[in-house]
Amino acid sequence: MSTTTQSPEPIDPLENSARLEELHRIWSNEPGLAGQLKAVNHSTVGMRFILTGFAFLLAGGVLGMFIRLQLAWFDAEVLDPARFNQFVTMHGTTMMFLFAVPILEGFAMYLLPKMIGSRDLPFPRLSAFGYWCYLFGGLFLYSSFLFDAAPDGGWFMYVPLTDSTYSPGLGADFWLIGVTFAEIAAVLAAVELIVLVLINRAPGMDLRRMPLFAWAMLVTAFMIAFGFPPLILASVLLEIQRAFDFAFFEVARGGDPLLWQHLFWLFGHPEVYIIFLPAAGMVSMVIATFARRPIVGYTWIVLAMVSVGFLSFGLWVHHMYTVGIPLLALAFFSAASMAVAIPMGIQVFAWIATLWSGRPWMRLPLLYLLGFFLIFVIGGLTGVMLAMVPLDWQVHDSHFVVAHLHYVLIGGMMFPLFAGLYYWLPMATGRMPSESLGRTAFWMVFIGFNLTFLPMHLTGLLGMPRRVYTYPEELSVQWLNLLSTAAGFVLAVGMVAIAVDVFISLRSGRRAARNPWKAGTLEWAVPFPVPQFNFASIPEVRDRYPLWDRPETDEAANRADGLLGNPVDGRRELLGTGILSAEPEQVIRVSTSTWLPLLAALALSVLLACFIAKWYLAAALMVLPLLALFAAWAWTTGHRQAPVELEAEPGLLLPTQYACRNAPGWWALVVSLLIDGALFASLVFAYFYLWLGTEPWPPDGIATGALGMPLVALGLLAGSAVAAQWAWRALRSTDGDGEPARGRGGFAWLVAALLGAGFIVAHWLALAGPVGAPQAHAYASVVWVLAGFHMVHVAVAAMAALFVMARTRCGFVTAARPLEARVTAALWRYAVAQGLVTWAVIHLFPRMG
Amino acid sequence: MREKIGPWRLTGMATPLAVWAAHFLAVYIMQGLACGEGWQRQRVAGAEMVTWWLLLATLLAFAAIAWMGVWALRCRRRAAFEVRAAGDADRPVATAARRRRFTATLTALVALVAFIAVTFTGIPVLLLPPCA
Repeated sequence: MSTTTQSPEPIDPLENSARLEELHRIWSNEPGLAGQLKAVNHSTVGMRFILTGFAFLLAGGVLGMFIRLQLAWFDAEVLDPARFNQFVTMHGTTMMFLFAVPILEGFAMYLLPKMIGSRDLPFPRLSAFGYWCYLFGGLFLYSSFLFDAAPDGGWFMYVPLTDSTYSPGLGADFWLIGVTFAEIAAVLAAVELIVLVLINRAPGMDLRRMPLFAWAMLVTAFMIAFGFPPLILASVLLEIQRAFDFAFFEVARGGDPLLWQHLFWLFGHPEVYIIFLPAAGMVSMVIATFARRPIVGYTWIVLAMVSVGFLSFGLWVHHMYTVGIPLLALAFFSAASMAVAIPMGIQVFAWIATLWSGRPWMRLPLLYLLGFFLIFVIGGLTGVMLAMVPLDWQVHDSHFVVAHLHYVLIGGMMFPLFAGLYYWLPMATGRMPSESLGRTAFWMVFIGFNLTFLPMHLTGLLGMPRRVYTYPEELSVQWLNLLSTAAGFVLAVGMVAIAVDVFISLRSGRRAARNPWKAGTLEWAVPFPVPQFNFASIPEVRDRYPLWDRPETDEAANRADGLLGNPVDGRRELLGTGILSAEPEQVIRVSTSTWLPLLAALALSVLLACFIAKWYLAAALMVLPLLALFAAWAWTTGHRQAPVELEAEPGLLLPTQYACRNAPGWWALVVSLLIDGALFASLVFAYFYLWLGTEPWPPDGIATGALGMPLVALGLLAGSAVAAQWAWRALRSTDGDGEPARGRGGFAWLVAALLGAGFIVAHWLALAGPVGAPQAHAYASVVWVLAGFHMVHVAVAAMAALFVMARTRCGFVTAARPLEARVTAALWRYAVAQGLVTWAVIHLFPRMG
Repeated sequence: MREKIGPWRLTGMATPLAVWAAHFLAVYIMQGLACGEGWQRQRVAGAEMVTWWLLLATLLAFAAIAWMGVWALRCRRRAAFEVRAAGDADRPVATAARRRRFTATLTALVALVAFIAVTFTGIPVLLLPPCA
């Protein structure tokens, strides 16, 4: 399918104005506070993530300054030990969970649609919901200070320190629930960004023309999809243990505290690269503009990103070198830790080559990138040192590690972030930052940072432990610590100067010319002030740097005579394109402003607050309004009269997403199931990890029971799969004349749901007798959680089946618009496949011994 | 149709490193079973049996990655030929051929990185006993 973005003849200016006005009307947020609370547009939501992220950076920074004050001298008494532990925990937690990941996602949400020529994210309500989860999760964490129950177990919350015996207060609960709440935002953003990059690129932007930031976010989003589930699982397991006395991590009842460490670092190490890769993507964007040439080694940089995305999952045990793992296993992780340096090195050399072969323009963003190079390379080198097992044994849990991680994270993430901030600020605000104040701030941050953290390499090597509120005078490190503290304040003042610079720029900065840095990528084609729809017509792309290739692209982006330029239906529409080719494939209708994301997040907040307060019945009851809100959400997706085809531009008919194979809903399901699969795999890993340390399995006093009832359950599950498949085929077998196929497949969906409910009851009965109470032993705990996890999936699939049945009856789902039925059928297949694995693990494996 | 499977797709591009991940997981699990459960600890031909299993897994991973790499190189050669034949920069056929050349090149490079990474993981198997 080929297309052109401009009509053969220029559009009449009056007609163009009328179309632009209509586009503004369709895409604008509603007025007033209510309008802001209901807004779902990507620019609004992305900017909220960014601003909230910076607010948490300030909060985390203040905590960091208190930590430095306490450590300034060996006998300082700024914080008592308990408060110090709280501040250390909240500093790390804030920076990792509430600043680094969300702000990068905010940048991606704000920039990526503009960069790849899309009008919005494919699931605007989802990103708005994610934002509220992030905000409320962060506020949950900080509200713990109000109850004098701030978490104090470190940002990694090791057990047994954080179980109910050694942390009996609410601190750990606030952490586990608050962080998991905030992580929902990260996981939802991953779904959103993967689908966006795969199917919402401008026509012509095939894989080799994608901006490197889009590649970076694609890889990062997949890493989030596989990296976050282990921590979500670990948090849920620990909270269940704390709340209901399960035994996953308790040695006396067959549990293992090291299971927590494995699950945490399965997330924790990829997390470092989840933070670094988007920043690296920013570097690749900024450096090409200021080297005034295309990036050198585009293919090699993509290679590096993909390689880092995989290899970073083989590093988790390098945080656990001292726990007593055999040398050969340590060597595997040490080898992977060194292997990951190869793609990192490739990227750095490609950036240097770009600068080397270009005509560098020394402005603030480039200055930050030069700072990034120096600091990040030092951090990377100490990282390779720490990958060596013998050195790690010596400096483990010392300030050497503190120095290393700050060099990597501040160097690798914050310096590129500030480069990006200064780079894209004129696009978002229309005003230029102050070069002189910006440079002063840079040098304060650069010098302050190095003088704060460079001495820590030495204090660490001399034996100063981390996470401890004091140190012995005999170590003679007080002067180095005093230097760190003093420099820390220089760093802090530098940060404040950046904030002041941005504020002054907003108030009275010089007005920016359009595309002031003469950049080549598509986000600079968006007119200022940035319209909520970004592009009046979706531009066509023929190069990696469309504005360098065809400078007139920015003019075309403001003319409503191309793809989707004529908003005849009065609805928000995106263009869907092919995954590889980026050829136009579909018109995607997205939702407008709504209260649903905020209300759903509020309902979830109340549920979780009830849980923290140990009002478990109230928490359970809150599931009902939450389900009702999600049902309303799903029901308001699409509409009865949704057309099967739409005219994207004169002469170009495209299917709508309800009738398209590459529909965003389909890909969202695929990504969601990947995430869920990672969660399930982590749970199966937990089962076998606990098995490894327990003899016999099941333990004495717990029986495997007869196979009769489990087989009945399995039969019901298989029957439900057959019914779901029958329902899907029934819909597909109807004629595709566009008429609603009332009732087709509806009964079969009902049968599938009933059989699913029967399975849940039967499996419950199969386990209740032989396994007994989940508190008895880690075996019983993990078996019940595994079975319960799957039962939840069957219940969700059953609800989806009833939903599709109703939608089919009401004419939303037809043979010509089968998307919802297709998604539900696939969900059912997944639930059954997961059930087969669960059944085999629970009922077959213990009988094999 | 040509882009249905293999080195021209995103999934094909990721396959060599997925093989690395599978190998990494396999050797870690086998080693864990040997040390935790005494699995395959008997000595055969001068080494514990588990070491031979680890080496076999490594050889299989090498073979799978090499196969993907060679396949990618062949695809790249074919795509390069098509690019030359298509000539004109703006023709859709030429654009598609260039895209295939890009993804095939990327797959071949990913296979190279995966090969190096499996080598890194495999060397300790030759140097260390499984449960020291």
